[in-house]
Amino acid sequence: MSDTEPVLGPDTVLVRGDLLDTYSTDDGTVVLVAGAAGHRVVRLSPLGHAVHSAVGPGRTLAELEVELVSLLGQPPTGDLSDLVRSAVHSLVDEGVVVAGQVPKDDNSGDIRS
Amino acid sequence: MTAPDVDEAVLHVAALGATIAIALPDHRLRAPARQAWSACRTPPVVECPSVTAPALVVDAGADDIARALQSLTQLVTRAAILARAGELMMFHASALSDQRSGATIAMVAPGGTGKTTLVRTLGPGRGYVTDETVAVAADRSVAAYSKPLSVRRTEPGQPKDEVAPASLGLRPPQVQPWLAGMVLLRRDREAGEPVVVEQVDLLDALVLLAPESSSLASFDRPLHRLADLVESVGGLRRVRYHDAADVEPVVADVLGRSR
Repeated sequence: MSDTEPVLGPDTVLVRGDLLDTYSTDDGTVVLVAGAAGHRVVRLSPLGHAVHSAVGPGRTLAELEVELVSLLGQPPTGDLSDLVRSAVHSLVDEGVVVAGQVPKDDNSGDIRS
Repeated sequence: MTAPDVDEAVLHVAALGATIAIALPDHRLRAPARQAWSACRTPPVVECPSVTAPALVVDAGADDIARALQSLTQLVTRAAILARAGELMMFHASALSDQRSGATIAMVAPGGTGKTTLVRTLGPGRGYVTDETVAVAADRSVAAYSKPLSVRRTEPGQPKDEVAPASLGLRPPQVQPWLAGMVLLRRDREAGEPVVVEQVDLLDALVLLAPESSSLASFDRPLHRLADLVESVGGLRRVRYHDAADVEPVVADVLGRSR
């Protein structure tokens, strides 16, 4: 994780990263992520795919957790919020999701990665 | 449009289907460059991409010339990749073809992991397509790049020698190569252990091939294009080996395929 990456909190706004292509089969999904240091292909876990889909044009982490609990229910063991946060961290590290601290309705575009 | 190649200071070579002009301002590089690139010589083309060979110091020795030729090869490869970006799917790979059918195997691997050794070992009697970059068109035809082989010396820290294919008993493809199969090379077996061939899941294949591709993002829907290519050749296989000679059955299998 980079030094400039924001700490994820309930109000952290999440948006989709700059994806050049997405390819899915019955076995899963891979995405091509644009990056300054080069593009890379990332295979999404099932939860990672759900997170990426649910982020849509932008949601706070709290909204995302509510959405995914609604969609997936609580897992047999563990806490879905913890799993979601872990998945979000991984997706932010890979550039699949971008996290910022600005309110969702702020149009300044000051979303930092 | 072509022009007479009267200027000895310029050498034209075919690389990945493009013509690249090599400017050789230092006369000491002209003969070794022409020798090394003998399999790629092609008639001049006006306004083709060009590169200039590195300058040599006044008292340059054999190692300096070797380093300059090595740098020159890298310059030509970059120019050719740039010229074909968005047209051809390109991979860091060596490739051999069947001299009658053109069936070609692409052996994908990062630099320094055995690509050149494989073509030197298994290439005699076959078409030497490349030891560096495999470029595939949408119809699976392969643009040959029969460049000088970059041969590592035994002593560490020494420059590689750029060696003409003919000097190693290799010949360029005699018929149009077409991609019949792709493998990912991993030289992680111990001496004496048998070669292991593993089928790679398609999604994992995309993850593994992307870092070894060039200009992938210049295509429309690049992952779909790459997936179509991988599926069209029966998927990607990972070949884990130690000795290059042990890969012979895999090469023979792919080169025996028909279109």
